[in-house]
Amino acid sequence: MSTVTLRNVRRAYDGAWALDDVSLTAPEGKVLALLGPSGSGKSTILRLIAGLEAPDAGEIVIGAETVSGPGRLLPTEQRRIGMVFQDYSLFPHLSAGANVAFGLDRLTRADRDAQALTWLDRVGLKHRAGAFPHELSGGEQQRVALARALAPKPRAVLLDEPFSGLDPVQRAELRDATLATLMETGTTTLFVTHDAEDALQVADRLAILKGGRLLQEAAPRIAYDQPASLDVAAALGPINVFDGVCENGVVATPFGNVASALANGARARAAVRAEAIALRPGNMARVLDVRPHGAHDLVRIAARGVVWRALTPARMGLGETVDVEFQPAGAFVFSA
Amino acid sequence: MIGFALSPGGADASFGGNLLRDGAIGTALVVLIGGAGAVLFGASAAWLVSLCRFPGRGIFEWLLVVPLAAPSYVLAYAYTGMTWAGGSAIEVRGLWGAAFVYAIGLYPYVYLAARAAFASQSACALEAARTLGATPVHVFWRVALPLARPGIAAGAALTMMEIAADYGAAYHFGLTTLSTAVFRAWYAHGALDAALQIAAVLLAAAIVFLLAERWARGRAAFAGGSTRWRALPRYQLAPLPGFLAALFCGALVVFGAILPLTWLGRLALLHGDLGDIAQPFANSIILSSTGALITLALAVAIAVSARRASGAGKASVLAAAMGYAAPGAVIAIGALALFGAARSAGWIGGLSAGLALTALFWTYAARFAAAGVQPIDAGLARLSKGLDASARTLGAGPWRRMFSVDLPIAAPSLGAAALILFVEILKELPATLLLRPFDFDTLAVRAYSYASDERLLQAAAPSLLIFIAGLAPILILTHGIGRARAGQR
Amino acid sequence: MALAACNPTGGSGGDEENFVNLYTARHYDADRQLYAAFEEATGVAVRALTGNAEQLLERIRAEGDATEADLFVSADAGNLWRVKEAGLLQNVTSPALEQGVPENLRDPDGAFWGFTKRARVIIYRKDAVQPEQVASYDDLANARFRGQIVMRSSTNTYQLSTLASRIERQGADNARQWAAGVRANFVRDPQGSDTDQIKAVAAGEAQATLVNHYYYVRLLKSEDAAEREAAARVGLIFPDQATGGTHVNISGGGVTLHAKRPGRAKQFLEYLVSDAAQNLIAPLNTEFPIRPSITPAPELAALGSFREESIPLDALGRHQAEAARIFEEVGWR
Repeated sequence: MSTVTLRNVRRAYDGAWALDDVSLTAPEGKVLALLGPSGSGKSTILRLIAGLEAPDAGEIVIGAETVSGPGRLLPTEQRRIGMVFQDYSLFPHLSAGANVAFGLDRLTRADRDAQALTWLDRVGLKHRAGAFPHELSGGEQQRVALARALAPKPRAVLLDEPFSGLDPVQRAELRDATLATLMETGTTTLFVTHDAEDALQVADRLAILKGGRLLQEAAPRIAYDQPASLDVAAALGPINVFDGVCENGVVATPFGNVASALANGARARAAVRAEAIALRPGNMARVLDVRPHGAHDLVRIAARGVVWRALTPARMGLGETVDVEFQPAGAFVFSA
Repeated sequence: MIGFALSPGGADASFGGNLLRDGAIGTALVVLIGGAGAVLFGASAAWLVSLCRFPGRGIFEWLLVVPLAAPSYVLAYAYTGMTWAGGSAIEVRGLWGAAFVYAIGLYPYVYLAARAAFASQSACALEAARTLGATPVHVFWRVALPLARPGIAAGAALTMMEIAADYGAAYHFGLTTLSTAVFRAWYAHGALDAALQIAAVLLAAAIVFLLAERWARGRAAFAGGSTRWRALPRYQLAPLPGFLAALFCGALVVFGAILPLTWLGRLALLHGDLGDIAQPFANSIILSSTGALITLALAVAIAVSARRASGAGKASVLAAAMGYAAPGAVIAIGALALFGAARSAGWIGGLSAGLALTALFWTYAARFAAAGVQPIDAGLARLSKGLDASARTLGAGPWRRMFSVDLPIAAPSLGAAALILFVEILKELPATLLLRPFDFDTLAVRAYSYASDERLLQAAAPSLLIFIAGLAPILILTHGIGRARAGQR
Repeated sequence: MALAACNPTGGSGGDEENFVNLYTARHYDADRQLYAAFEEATGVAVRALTGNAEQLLERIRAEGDATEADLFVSADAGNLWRVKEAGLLQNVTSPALEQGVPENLRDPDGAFWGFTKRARVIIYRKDAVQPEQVASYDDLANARFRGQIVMRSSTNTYQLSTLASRIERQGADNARQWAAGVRANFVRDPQGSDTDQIKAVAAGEAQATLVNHYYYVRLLKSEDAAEREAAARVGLIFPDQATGGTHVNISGGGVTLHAKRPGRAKQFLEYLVSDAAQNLIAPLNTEFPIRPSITPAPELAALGSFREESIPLDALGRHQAEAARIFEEVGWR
């Protein structure tokens, strides 16, 4: 297993930057999640690492080897990088076993078949070795694709939206199983998703991207608690925003004060996570509507003409008035 | 080839008439009318057998392909023989006669492509349209047809280039097309250089046509769409429309195959003596099989490299398509001159016979690669880009990707391409006539020899045999398409 | 090598291989019987590559000195002249050929020699036209036949040679006027074969046309009753009997410049004009024998004897390009 490092990588499509000066590191044996909306450049990063595309500038290093850089582009097939595609891209003319064995062609036939079976066993599909892709369910296809990518013992494995297109139950199961397999094998993993929950739960480290730029790279907990920008905060969960001015170390919002390190009189933007808001009976704000959200309610509250959302376990009634309190770890101020 | 055609200078239109202009107009007319007819026949028939249920549908599904086995020149002789003898109410002649013969003989190209396109459509899209309130007719016009358009366009392009390249039938019907102009400049005026320039115009027109087709297709870039696939439900036609549908399909088969076949059969019986037809038959099979395999290899190389998106690959697709639009004799002469020049320059040695045979296979490859590239490309189109990328991340180099991913997946298409190439070469005349070895007659050569000597009775038997020899692969081909569809998850 | 090839060996070709290779633009079954007869008589096998004359010319040109062809055979003097002009035939001297082939039916330099001849005749509809009205080629251009004439395409070599002979005899202007006159009389644009023209006349679509004589003879004895009936409805005229004589063309052959077996090639040519071959080949294809002393087939004899034009044969080649240009100018494609 190896560390994967991007240094000042740029990539343009039709004159627009798909990736603009991105540097990041996927630590050896850890899972790095790339989180961002469509068009943020996260899939481009995987294609560049796999060598399916060449960067316009910067370099990519796997272990100690520069695989992409000025004047150098190691062909994909020599990179020893495993990849699980969004549509899995299983070979339709090969059985599950043969799909997994595809990357093991340097072994003897007997070894190859044995290893393919071992890998299928690891993802719980030994009994499906003879099945063809169209005979497998979506979840089974994903597991075969994972086994196929891991079997050749790649230096790192890239997962492109691996859990999209699966139903929620399958999704949670598969996410846990995949994570278990990856941890067990100690594989360096880069994992692209637009789902904050997936990213927070699976990743050892998190890289948040928007518009081709890297916004923050940090451990999930750090990124969640100390977002580097409003965009990062918004990427990891629903937030409420209020534009105000910093006075005496706080920004006053209609729902209460948020502590700020900005200078007195500076224009400021306060952001409070919906799940960091606690409500209790009082008279600070009025409840506009309530929608069940699992164990929580999603409550819209209004005060002085401003409407915020709160995700709270307290059961509130329509038209009630409430007092509002923020958990400090979920309330941030950014300079505006 | 192109260089050869363009190189000679100085030839002009000093023939006293405007051969080039008239030829261009003639080609445009016959390609448009004949091509429109072929599209109308082929696409409607494909839609009927793919999406409707009516009496005889199952039989028509494969019968409709049969006219593919008849060379245009044989159809032309048959129809003129049938209707020119007097007593016939309708005479098949002139521009409309030629257009009719092309449409009725070549519509199977459109039919095959369109049927494959209809067959690969997901029922989901069609059913979605039904739930949105579209009648079956609307579904056809607004969903099925637009989805099948790339396939129909590809079949139409093949047909139109085949018409543009055809000499035998066009000459027989007295048309002035670019193709007949080439041979008029060459045979009547003895001006081979001018002939090649006209041929170059034909090729240039083919390129423009192809680029336009690609551009139109590129703008409407819709892939197969839904990943969910279910068998198409066929729409049951009411008795009268069902009868009309059967009548329509029946008419295509009767006019495209049964009528001319019967006429040829009658002539052959009248003459009685088949002559020594066994050897030409065997020669035809040997030559067509060998030629088909060589051409297939080239077509595979072109299709695969084009899919890898290399500039050279795309250029070679265009070059192959140009070859399809060029009269066979012109390519044959070009190949001969090329090899002749190489020999006199001392680059290659060898006997004249070997040289000619090399030139012959070269000509087959140059002439027909496009006919093979199309089905192979369609087969490769079923490969998602992800498969190629997957194979690469698993360490497979270009050759391994081709042999263990691309080709196995495209195997049914390869088979289809090989069969089409076999039939094309079986029907091919001018290059075979010119470049074959001594005492080596094929069926097409025999048929031509008799026909050019105006001995239609004797020409009937070999013509009939071309038809019959072409039938077997064509039936395998249609059977194969049906199976591929059934097995497709 | 080239020197040796230009120096024809003696008549027998005794030390050469025991076969001879033909590039031939004749596609007749009769020819295969002829090859067999030659092999039986001499032990020399004939291997043939049939094809289109213009294309065979290009093949032999491309092959250069590697060619396997010993003899080039075509059914039109104009085509043979083109091969000679391309420098791909060698001149042959042979007493047998000189004696056998009349002077107007061979190349003056001995590059090619006729072995059968065919006449370009007028076919007319018996119930609509009097024979006197179509006694000469000129009559086809007569305004009386406006919209009554069908013709084959002028891409066809027989039409080119017909006009070329007229250019030789009466000059280019006369030829142009004639072609324009005939063109003005067309029922329709040229299409189909000689046989198709005869059938069109028989079917009443036109009143007259111009074809090689043997296509008519073949219809007369066709296995198809409809064709025999068609032939019965039309008549045949050898035109210009009162003036220059009927246009004739030859089937002929010449020894190729790079022939590997020039002796065998000459031997075969000489055989073609021998009594045995002449008696065999002419009736089979209902062509006229090249030697006046040989009796033609009965169905030819029944057509009567006729006066043929007398022009140097190479004129058909020399005027070919101009003939094509004239056809183009008057719109006879």
